[in-house]
Amino acid sequence: MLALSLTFLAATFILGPDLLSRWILSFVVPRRSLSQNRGEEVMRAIVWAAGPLALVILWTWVGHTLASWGSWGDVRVVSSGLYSSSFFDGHTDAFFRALPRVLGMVGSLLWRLYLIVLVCAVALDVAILRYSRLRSMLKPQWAKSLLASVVLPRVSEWHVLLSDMLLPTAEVYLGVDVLTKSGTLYEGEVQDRMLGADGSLQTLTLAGVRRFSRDAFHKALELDGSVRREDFWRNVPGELFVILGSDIASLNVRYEPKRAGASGFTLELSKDEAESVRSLLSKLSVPGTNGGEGI
Amino acid sequence: MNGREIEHLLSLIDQNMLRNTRRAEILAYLRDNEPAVLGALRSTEKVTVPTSSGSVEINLADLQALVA
Repeated sequence: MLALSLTFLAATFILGPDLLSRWILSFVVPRRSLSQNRGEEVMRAIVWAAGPLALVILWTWVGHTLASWGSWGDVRVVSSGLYSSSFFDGHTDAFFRALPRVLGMVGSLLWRLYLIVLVCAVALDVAILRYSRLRSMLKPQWAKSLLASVVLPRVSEWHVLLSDMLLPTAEVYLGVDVLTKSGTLYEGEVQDRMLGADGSLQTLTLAGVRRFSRDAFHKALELDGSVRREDFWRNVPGELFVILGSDIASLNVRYEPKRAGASGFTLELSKDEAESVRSLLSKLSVPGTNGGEGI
Repeated sequence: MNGREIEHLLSLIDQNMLRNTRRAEILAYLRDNEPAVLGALRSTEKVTVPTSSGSVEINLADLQALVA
């Protein structure tokens, strides 16, 4: 019975905080993107349990909280009763008098422990979400290193590279050039990524994708050396474009400025569409076109 | 994929569909209502384009920036 009780206490005091922190962390970072080896997992569980537990002990010691529930004698009676059935039979009344006190002591430790873990995990979530801003606010290099060592080990490298975590400002978007193993080049805006249990990249989802017609470009280049590379990009219709991670040979990650006017308006235009808008605007400068004077 | 990941993907599809629809409607309006668009741009330097997701006000400077 004592072994069972100790196992339960170990689970609630050591495993519980780690599970709670993982659950809260999964709200901002997909759980599968947590990339850690066995040693890091053990270290993480110890830190998540030991650090907050030390704070809880300090908290209850300063506030004399445990003494208000019971005493060391109550703990001895309950643990002895759980360990030895003969002690339990001889001290049944004392055991049941001490039991609620000990449960109160454990409960008062536990709610404080989980509250501290909850606050720390939410703070870590905020740090992950605001990583770029936090990093720019910290001036000393040691502070940046400290922030990275606290936040980044909990996040897969692919999540760091292919999410908005490192975007310097909100005025840029994350664009990538993807060269597949078959030699096709795509470019687009990163929308999402799926990560494996080990943090590896499973799929990359893009929007506004263009494919480079490499063969056509090389053929045209042989005929005319002045052809423009830009003319050989073709829009890929569709809402989301998914590339399997296993098909990717290389990635070029770009932070592209959003093409927005002063009012924030933006519109992605193909070459023909841009020409059409340009044609419309050119009519503004021709006096008398469509009734009115040029501006 | 768990439920939250699927929901995230669906919301991305919704966003892109909305963006593409809005984009097509704006371009169609600019093309099909050229006299009115030019008149509005000349008089107020902006044009209001009705779309299925609400009206969009486009400044002349924004249009010029798009094709710059």
